[in-house]
Amino acid sequence: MRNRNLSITALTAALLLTACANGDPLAPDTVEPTPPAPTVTTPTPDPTGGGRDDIVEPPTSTAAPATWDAQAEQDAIETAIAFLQAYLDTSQPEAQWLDGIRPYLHPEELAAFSTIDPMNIPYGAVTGEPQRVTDDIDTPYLAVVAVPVDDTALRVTLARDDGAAPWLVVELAQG
Amino acid sequence: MPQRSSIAIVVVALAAPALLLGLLFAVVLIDDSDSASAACLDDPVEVALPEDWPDDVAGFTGAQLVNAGHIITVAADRDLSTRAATIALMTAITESGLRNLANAGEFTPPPGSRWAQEWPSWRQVAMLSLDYPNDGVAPGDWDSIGLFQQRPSQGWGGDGTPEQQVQNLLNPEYAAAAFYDALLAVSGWEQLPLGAAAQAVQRSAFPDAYDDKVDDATALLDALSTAGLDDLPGTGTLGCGLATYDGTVSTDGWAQPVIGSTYTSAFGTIRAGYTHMGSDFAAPAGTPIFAAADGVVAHVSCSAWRGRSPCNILIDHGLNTDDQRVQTLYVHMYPNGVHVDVGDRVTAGDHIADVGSNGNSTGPHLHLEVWIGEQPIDAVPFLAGVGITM
Repeated sequence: MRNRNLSITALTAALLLTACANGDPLAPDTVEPTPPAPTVTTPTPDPTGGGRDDIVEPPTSTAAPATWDAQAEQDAIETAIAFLQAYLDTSQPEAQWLDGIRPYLHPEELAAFSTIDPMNIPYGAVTGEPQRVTDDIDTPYLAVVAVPVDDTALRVTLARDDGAAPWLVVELAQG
Repeated sequence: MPQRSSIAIVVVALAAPALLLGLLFAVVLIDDSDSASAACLDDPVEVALPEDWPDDVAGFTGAQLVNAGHIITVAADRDLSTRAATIALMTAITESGLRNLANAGEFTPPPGSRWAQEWPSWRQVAMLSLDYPNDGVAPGDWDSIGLFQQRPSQGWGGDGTPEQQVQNLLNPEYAAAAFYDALLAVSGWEQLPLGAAAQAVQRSAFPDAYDDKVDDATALLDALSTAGLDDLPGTGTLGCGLATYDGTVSTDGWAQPVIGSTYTSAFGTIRAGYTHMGSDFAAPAGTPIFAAADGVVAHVSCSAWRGRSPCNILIDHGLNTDDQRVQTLYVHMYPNGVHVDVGDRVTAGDHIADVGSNGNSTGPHLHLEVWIGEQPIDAVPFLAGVGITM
């Protein structure tokens, strides 16, 4: 974790430097994809035209941008395994079983996973090496981990809010 | 509401393959000549099993289509909605592939399971299903039986003898009725996304397993009932389905996130000491919000997130040619106006949400942000630069 924090701090610093070199870090002078810069006529807002933000809220937190590295991948895999071990532990009564998986679940998914009757879980144990599936997910904010379980494989999808946030489970699927 | 005219109740013997199975359906035939409008999800489901029984609907054939016909007919007989029939079809497609499955009792329970000890007696009951007509034999997932893979050990087969319970679960009409009874008992089921409603009944080990069956269920309803359901919401809940984007997609692959809006507050406006990080576009509540470009949904929440109001959706569009990440953020929707889930892939112009006024807002609007390299920039000139005029 320590190395990862350092590298993210360095990255953030690098991004800030890049941004500062352009003057206003929020200036849209790095607009991409880069079509030939057209003469843009920017419309003028009409605050009387309907709904808008009320009091403007405190802007974005200082969230660290996420990037892929070995640590991020390892963290995702470890979380997927820890989650599955709790999920497959059907020796527990239902409430305790839910308490077991809760720490690994994205809060938005708690309601969905609370509908599971652990009596319907047909599998018992993680049986092989998990692997991150890299197919076509082009974002460092999501990870899909394939985990051999009994005679099949389960896919755990995890999401993280930023580079310093923990991976949390958002979906579990067969195959 | 679709218009209805003459309605006659008749009993129709279906052409093969139904005849082969000796099945009779009581159906409602509807003169549909003056109705071209698509049904809404909350309209009653109406059944008119076609005279020319289809050979193939979305890859389903033979007994599978007959089973789908039973599921729809039971809903129609009970005056249930198209929504209920859609949820039931999605469930049976996931659970059995619309096959009325017997159980071979080959399941091995997880050794640590609290229910492992009870398995031998459940297994005996499940295997009784082999003695009755079925569409095939599954190895068995616990003691699950039939179209909806309902478990006698959980009471799905009723209170009779084990033989009676198993016959009930292998009877498509009984199984569908039991499903609908349980669905109607779910508090607020009509407000749930379709897949979530299915899961609330089934309590399966994989809560998202039903979500992707909407298109197949829709095709079956299209073919086997009079309802013309073209655009059922994937994970949405409102009315007549998702909107189709009829704006333009620019050559750079961008779409207009909201159509017919009024631009009410600019990026960078300073009020109460804070900088407005987005652009506000006012539009009536419920106006569709479209994905601005292809991408994957990286964040959805209905709580405040990084100072933004609920609900909020972040789409990651990948890296641009300068290796900077491009993301768009949509804010202020109500929970029932969010139609995507984290991890969903989206295409420019997909209907992802509905305009709301949730959180810190003076009225219905979309607060839109474009992030380049993880930093919010002014969305309006950015979109103009990629061919989209707001």
